[in-house]
Amino acid sequence: MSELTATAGRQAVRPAAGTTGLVLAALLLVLAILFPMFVSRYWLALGITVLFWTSFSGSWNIIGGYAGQFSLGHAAFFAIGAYSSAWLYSVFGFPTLVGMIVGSAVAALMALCIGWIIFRYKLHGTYFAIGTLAMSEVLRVLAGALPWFGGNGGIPIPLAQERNWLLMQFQPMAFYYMFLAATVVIIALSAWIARNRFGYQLAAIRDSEDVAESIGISPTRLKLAAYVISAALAAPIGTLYSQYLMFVDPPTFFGLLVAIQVVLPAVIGGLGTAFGPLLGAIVLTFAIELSDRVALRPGASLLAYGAMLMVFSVLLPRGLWPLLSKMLPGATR
Amino acid sequence: MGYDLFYIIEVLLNGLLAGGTYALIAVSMTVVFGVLKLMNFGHGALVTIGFYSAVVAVSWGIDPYLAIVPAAVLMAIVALLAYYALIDTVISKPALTQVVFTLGLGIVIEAAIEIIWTANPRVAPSALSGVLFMGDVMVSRPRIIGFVASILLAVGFWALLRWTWWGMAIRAVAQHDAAARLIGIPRTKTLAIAFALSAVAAVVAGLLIAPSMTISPYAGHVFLGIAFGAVVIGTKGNVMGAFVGGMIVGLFEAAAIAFIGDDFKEAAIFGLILVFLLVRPDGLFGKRANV
Repeated sequence: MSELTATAGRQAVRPAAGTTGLVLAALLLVLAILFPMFVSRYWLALGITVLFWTSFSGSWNIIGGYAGQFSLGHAAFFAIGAYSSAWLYSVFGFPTLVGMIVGSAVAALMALCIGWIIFRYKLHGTYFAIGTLAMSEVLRVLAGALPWFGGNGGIPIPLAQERNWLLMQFQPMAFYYMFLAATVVIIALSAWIARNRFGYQLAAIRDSEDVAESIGISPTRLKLAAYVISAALAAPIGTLYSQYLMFVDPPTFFGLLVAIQVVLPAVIGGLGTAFGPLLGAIVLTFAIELSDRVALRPGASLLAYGAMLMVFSVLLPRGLWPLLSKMLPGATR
Repeated sequence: MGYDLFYIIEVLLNGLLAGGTYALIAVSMTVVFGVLKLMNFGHGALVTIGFYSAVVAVSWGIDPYLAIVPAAVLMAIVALLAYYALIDTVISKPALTQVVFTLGLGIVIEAAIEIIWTANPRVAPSALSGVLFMGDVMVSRPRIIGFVASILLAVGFWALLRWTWWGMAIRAVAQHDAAARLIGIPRTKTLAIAFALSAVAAVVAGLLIAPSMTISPYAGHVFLGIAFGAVVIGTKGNVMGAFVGGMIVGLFEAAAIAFIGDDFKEAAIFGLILVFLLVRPDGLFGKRANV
């Protein structure tokens, strides 16, 4: 039983994507592909921010939304991806792409070990949230304390002499498309999960672990699978983001704020829905941007952020997607 | 460095002293959990309000310790209002809503503090600041004051819950909500008072810690983690348990600083929390996650 998400995501159990839905999704994708060709650098940066949060939050959504396990330690896997590639490149000269794959594998392995322990001991609800948060904080402090990994200052990613796609140092435009690709993969995977046996089983676990177990589903194994997938997806996004910023450090990649921020697009957009994180990321990104421009004082955007959380959690506990999907003709059930 | 006896005594003493304030924060948090069934992710921000109460007091030329009573009274009023205006709207909502809501509220408080006082680090020294030598063992005076005051307050808090009418009402609601209503306990008012008590205790804890630390708008986060740890270790909702949990975390932190290094203290605390969650998720004093 996941006390945290039991009533939050039931909408998503059977999103029978009809033709209308597919056409709309394809249209959206075409728009997203064309978008950078017509906009200024400012809008491009905003687009990158939206896609980054969509893909990152989408990777969280698999364990947090579909499986209903409210992880507050997702930043750890994201940071593992970023640190793996940055460290392997700056110390040993491994190409970033290799580091990205290694990072994903390490994150998956980490999720397997941590998840095996956590799920075996049946931590769920707030216990799971605090346990994963504790795990992530331990890693954050270790990364900051070990000079081997750059300590508190982190690791600057050395600029490559020549542009090489293996090193993944791109122009912003290319980053936009990388994040778009990640977004598409994660949304497609989410939609696939929701309409498959795996997704149904996860939904059963989310609604009631005991009942799921009584009909022959193994909650531990399935939650573990969802956790590993979630982690393996978060790590490459960490690599991409570190390449975009050209550095890694503990607060940016491991911080408590990141651990919370990754949850929000999914929660605001619609937990356990394929398009929820996208919707949430758009709303959040623009709200923050707007409040920054209006208020022009440090802290103002954070204030707007917090206020939005309060308003959304009370007024739209299931997020925006259920609201929107009712308006789209035949897009979902 | 060699681990001589004095050094170890000093370390453990400092841990014990820090543990006193942690215990007060944990006690305030566990009451909210036990009675309101609310895991307050904004609790760290309440401690931060205490820090900045000290900053304001110092800027007005008042000693932080003298600001405790007025700040507590003010906070009690604000917390009661906040309960009816905000917290009451999520009290019967699913846990996810509560987590997101309290997170949001905490962020709003911290951001407002940053807007007003900027993110620059600040200090709030007291006239009593300084160190005290007990033989060869050195301890900071604000820590001793914080410890003694925290212990008194935590015991007072416990006594309040134990022997006053409202305290009994609070415990009744925590024990069996429906039964409490049947015997005529006004539920909403009881919850509001429990929340206000908790908020006041957190703010006072902040004021007590303020003279011995560097203050910033997000300094409360650390205490959120510590309080979570203490609450989990001492069984969620158990006041005495939270007290003991706070002490354990303080001592453990000090031991980690002494034997592994200052950089690793948080890792040690969170590692301890993790181990406790896995081995004894219901804490030292509980059987099942029931308050």
